[in-house]
Order: sequence, then C-alpha cells, then structure tokens
Amino acid sequence: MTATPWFYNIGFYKMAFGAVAVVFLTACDPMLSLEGSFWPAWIICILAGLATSMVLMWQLVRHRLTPYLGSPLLIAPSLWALCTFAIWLLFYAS
Amino acid sequence: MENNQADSPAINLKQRKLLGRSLGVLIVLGAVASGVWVWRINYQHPRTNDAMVRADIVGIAPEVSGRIVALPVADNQYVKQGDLLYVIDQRPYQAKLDEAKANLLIAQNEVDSRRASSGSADLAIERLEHQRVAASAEVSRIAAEDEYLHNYLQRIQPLAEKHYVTTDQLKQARSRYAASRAALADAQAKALSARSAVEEAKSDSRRAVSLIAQVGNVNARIAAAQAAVSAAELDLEYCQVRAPFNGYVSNLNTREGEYAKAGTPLFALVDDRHWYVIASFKETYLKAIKPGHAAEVFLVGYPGKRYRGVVTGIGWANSPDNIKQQGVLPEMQRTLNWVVLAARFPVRIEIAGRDPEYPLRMGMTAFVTVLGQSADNAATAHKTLPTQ
Repeated sequence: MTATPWFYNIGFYKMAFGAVAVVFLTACDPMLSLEGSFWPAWIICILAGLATSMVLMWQLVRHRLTPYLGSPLLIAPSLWALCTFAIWLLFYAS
Repeated sequence: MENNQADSPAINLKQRKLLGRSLGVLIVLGAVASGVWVWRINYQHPRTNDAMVRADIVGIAPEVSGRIVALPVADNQYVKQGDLLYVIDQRPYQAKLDEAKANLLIAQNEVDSRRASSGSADLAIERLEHQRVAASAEVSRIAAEDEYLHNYLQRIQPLAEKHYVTTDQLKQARSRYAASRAALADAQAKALSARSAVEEAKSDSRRAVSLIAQVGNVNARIAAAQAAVSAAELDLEYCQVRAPFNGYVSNLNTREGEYAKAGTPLFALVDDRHWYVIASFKETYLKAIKPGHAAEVFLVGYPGKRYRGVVTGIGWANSPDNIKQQGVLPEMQRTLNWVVLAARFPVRIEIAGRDPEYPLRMGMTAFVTVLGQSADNAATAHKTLPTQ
C-alpha cells in the first residue's frame, strides 16, 4: 500500500480552501490586546509568519525538496516574508 | 512510514527536482508579489493605530459670581439641553434688579419734570417776547413825540428872538424836549433789556431741552435706565446655569456652598452630539485621504466592534519643531539628521453610527482605516455586508 503525498491530496486543498474562505469572511481585529497592551498587526504577522515558515520549511525538508528550492539564504527569508504577507492579507487586510 | 512515503516511487528524483525548483521560484515570486500587494493596500487604504476618540468639551463657567445654592447634577451624569446645572445665590442680583427698576422710575419722572420745565421756559419766552414788542412800541411812540417836540422847539426859537413867544414858552418847550429825550433813552434801554431777556429765556429753554436728553424718538436717560434694568435681569437669569447642549457632566468635584467666580469653569460638559476620532497619519499617506472618504474605526476597548466613520477634515497646520523663537530672533538647532521621520497630521473622522451598548468615551484608543471611497458608496457597501 502506497500513501499519497499531501500535495497530491485533493482533500487537502479542499480543506485549505475552506479554511481560507472562512478566514476571508471574518477579519481579525487590527490590534491584539494583551493585558492592556495593544500589539500591532505587523508584529503578530511577523511572529506568525516565522512560525508558519518554520513548519513549511520542516515539511519541505521532510519531503527532501530543500536541495532543489534554491539558495537557502534566499528561500528562507522569502518564505518567511511570503508567510508574513499572506497572513496579513488573510487576516488584517480587510 | 514517513520515509516510505518520501521514498515512494510516485515521486522520483526528476519529479522532486522539478517540484522543488518550481516551489523555490513560487516562494520568491510570491514573497515579492505579496509584498507589493500589501504595500498597495496600505497606501490605498491608509491605517493607523495612533488615534483617539474625541468629543467637544465645554467648560461650564458662570457669567456672574456668587455662592452656589443648588447643584442638582452629579459627576458623569447625562444632561439634556436646557437642564439646570447649578444655581448661584440670586438675592444680590434680585436687589440690583429692583434698584435698576427704581432708577428707571426716577429717570422717567425726571424726564417728565424736565419736559414740564421746558414748557414753562417756552411760555416765558412768549411772555418776554410780548414785553419786547411792547417796549419797541413804546420806543416808537416816544421817538415820534420826541421828533414833534424837536420840531416845535426849532419852530419857536426864531419866533422867540422876535418876541412872538415868551421866554417861558421857549424854556418850557426846551424842557419838554429834554424830558422826551430822556424818556426815549429810557425806553430804548428797556427795549434792549427785553431783547436780552428773550435771548436768556431761549438759552434756558435750550438747556432744559438738552437736559431732557431726547434724541428722536429715544430718550437717552430712560434708555440708559432701561438698559440697566435689562442688564440686571440678565445677571439674575445668569444665576441659573443651564446645559447648552446634550452631554455628560465631567470632572465635577464640588458641591453647594462653593463660591463660583465669573469666567472660571466649575466642571466640563462633554458634547454628546458629535463624537469623532483624531487620527495621526503620516504625511506620506495624506495624498490618499480626502474629506468625504469613508473610514472604519476600531476601538480596542470593544473587540470585534466596528464603527463607520467619515473623514471630515485634515489638519492644515502643525507646530514646526525645527525652529524656536527666542526673543526676536529664531533659534536654529545644529543638527545632523540623516534619517528624518515623517511628520504626522491630525485627520478628523466623524463617527457616523452609534451603538448604545458600546458607549463612546473621549480618549479611547482607536485604530482607523480609511477606505478610500465616498461615504455614500461605503454606506451602500456596508448594507450588503454582514455587520459584526
């Protein structure tokens, strides 16, 4: 029995699309309140983007794709930036 | 098992290379494209968290001084326009009003009295004028008689030399003529005196008229007294201080018995008619903000709640911070600023929709996003979107 990789799984994309659609319909508050201190969206996006890019990079490493992505000095910050901007666009742009 | 998945024949090396390179390109291009997208959205819809809720504040100061005898409002209370806020002791101002009314009556009586005096002066002028006419007639009569006696004396003088008339008759004629001259001088003096008396009476009449102080249909004395009454009535009315608009009493920290000084605010009234947000936007974003643009206001105190707003104006002047005025000369600082921060300008955003469950308070921290379209269009768009 051979398992299908996640990026070939149609169900994964359906689930991801549903999650994105839900997120688009409900934008987050533009500031995060933590015990009376208000944190701007860009800090949240940078931290969340860092965590997301680490997870994605781990997946890429796990599937042995990293040697073919390109220079890590370019790919790692680009992935972080992409995740940061994507999170901002999904949660805070509207 | 994961290694089995990775090593499955479905993904051979060639496919992995192709997928890896594609993903690498997509990651880089995606980062650039999403960055440009974010920048465009931020420029087209400027947003800032340097914003605060504001309302107009009016210091409630009395117009008159005095001790507060009633203070029916409490701190933070909502009051409507015309509601009584506090009462200053009215007794001194009531006494002043009574005094002003009495002065008005005195002024009216004085004017009536002076008008009567002016009438008497007119009658006196008329009487003296008659006397002057009579004196002039007397002068004319004596002058005619004097002329006759003069002619008579000239006629009998040659006759006296020829002794046709007696010396006694001549002396008698001379005597009567001299008496006539004296009577004429006396009458002329009386006529002059009568003329002077008429002029003096006219002067007195003018003085009496001026003392009445009538200018057209207005009597200045009575008008001044009436103005004093109005001022006293106004002062009495000012003893009751009422709310000039619907609002909230704020910073009321005193009670009855406090001495209120005219012009010194006792507390503040927060205008509840207009609530707005003052947002500090960088000067680089001002080009994308226009009065009339719709805006979205988020208050950190009410998570999940959005207010609709309208940009009503952008500040025209900021205090320049690179120059100070010391005496008559400007003081220029020696600086070497390589990185210059953008100036910020206040943008006023009127909050359009209010929700009683989420009351606005001046000073609340706000986050503002300018939607970049007219408020009417935004309102239409808002109707089509689910409200939060």
